[in-house]
Amino acid sequence: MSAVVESKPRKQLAILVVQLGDIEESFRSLMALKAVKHLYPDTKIHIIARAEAAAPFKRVDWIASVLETPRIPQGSDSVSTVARWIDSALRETYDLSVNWTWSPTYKRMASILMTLVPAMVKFGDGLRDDLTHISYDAWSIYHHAWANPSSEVEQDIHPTDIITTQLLTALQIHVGDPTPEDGVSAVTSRYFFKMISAAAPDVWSARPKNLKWTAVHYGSLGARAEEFIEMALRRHPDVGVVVLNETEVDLDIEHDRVINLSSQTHFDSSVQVLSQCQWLLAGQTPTVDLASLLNTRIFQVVQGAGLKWIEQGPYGNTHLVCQFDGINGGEWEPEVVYTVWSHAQSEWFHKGKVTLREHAGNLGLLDPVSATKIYRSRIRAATEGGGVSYDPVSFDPSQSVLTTFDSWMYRIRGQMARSWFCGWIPPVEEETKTFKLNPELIKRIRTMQESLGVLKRIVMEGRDVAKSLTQTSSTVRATYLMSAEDREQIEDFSKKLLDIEVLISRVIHVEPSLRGFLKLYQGIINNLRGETIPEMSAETVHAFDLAFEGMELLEQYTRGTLDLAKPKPVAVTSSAVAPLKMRH
Amino acid sequence: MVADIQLLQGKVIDEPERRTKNISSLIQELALEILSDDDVAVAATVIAPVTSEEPA
Repeated sequence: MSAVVESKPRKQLAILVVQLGDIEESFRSLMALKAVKHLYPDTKIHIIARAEAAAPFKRVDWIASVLETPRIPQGSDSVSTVARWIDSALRETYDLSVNWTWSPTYKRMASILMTLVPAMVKFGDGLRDDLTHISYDAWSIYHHAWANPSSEVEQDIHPTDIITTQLLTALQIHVGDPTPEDGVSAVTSRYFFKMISAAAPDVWSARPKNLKWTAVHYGSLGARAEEFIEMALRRHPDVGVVVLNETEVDLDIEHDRVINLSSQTHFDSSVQVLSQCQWLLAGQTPTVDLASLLNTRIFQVVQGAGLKWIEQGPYGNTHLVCQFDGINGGEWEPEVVYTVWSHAQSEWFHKGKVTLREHAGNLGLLDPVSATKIYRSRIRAATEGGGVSYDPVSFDPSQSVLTTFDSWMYRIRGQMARSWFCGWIPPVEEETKTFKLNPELIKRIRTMQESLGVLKRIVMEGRDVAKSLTQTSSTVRATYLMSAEDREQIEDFSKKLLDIEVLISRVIHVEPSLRGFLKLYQGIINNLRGETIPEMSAETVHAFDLAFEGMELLEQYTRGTLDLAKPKPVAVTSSAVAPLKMRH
Repeated sequence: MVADIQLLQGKVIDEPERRTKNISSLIQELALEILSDDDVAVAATVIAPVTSEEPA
């Protein structure tokens, strides 16, 4: 399998990362690569990036080379320009290449590049000989099936964790166990980019240094950001606000503690400003990913329902997320954000003695704050599955946070992926004990359980059909030379497999929360590597096996959760059975 | 469960001569993709200076 790599051990393993995506993808790639570089210090990492998103890679000293996509001068021969550029990409010999371009706009460009540049082992997306897309590995299939904004499946693994795990697993398979370098293991730091050269705007350099600065990303929040700024300035004399935005913003607020840097920052100055701020307040913007790298605390505002936001959530510990999905059509409320922010801002002072409820009560904002979903990020221990997770913050510590069916399912989907692709077995029993049960959740789980049972039976049938197809087709010498009987049988099995997919779709139509199984199955089927019927049908068996294993895990969680809801016998004590007084 | 090595190992290239089919058509398509991206890139530097190395 990996004989080519193993038989010629190299002092330095050369890895090519194709990242032609948007700037946030560059930031996430850097986060993953820093972790990989720590565990495999001998790797030489080469990057190919678009010129517009290459700056972050050029500002760290541990990337061996950064090759930018070429500019094609007007009127020049574009094909020969690109051919010469490809030649420069081929000067290095790569042991392993990985395509981390997830942006749909640049997907095709990156896949072509992956196909053109040779490497011993390839990960991510590329092209087949017929120039159709193929995903080379499980995590890429998983990304397309579950973990991307256009997928309807909600899952809890952050894109940064997906690409980190993908590359680390690849190295473990093809190179061996890691040998981490001694010393610093922290990935994020305000000094992440050591090669910053350009100066920050003068107005920022001359800021009062005694203030605690909060960066506000105006564009992702809208004009209501000014209401937040006003509240923060009025109540916190030690706080200054710096406004960041891509285009110029005319602020209504005029205050000596507000610095408006809109349209004045580029990459280097954004790094300098953000790394010197205590907080970043923002909606969904690449600036969140940059602040994650710089270990600046993030307060993210999410507008709208669902859990897909986690795929663009802040990475690291103690970041806060406020989700507005109900009142005002999901529009964010500055006073709610201010309440949660100011509670967190004074954490070091009250040390948890003042609850968020008390704090909101003091500000007279009890109702709107309690109607908002608040999450706090943390990096989970490896025993819990690892990676970043977003824990719902209980508004009132005396009350538990209710677990909804959607959040229950999205958590379990993530655990399925970890068990499929990390070989990690989730502690189902311990985990189910942490779920906060409620009648609605129990009722919903019971409904899902019925469909799950039906789906399992269909998948088992599909597996049997695929297995029969493998056996029958294995006995045939060549596809162009077979008996009419064999041909008929093979065609019959193939038709049955299509019927089974239709049946699965019908169950999903009734129970959409199980859609992930169909998506993953289709993802594997669309990326079959085999070229003969027996090879492809064997992979189909494997796809059904994988879906079945996931269903088994979901069933374990279902049983565990429903068991908790069963009435339990209460120990009988003598006082509980005190004899009734006789009435005369 | 055991980690799914079959799916996790990526595409291992055992036959180097098979690496490079359709080179000329791939380069042509790549050139077209890069050309069309040039137009997008001009707009992107205007609206998203955080992505660029120069101020807007």
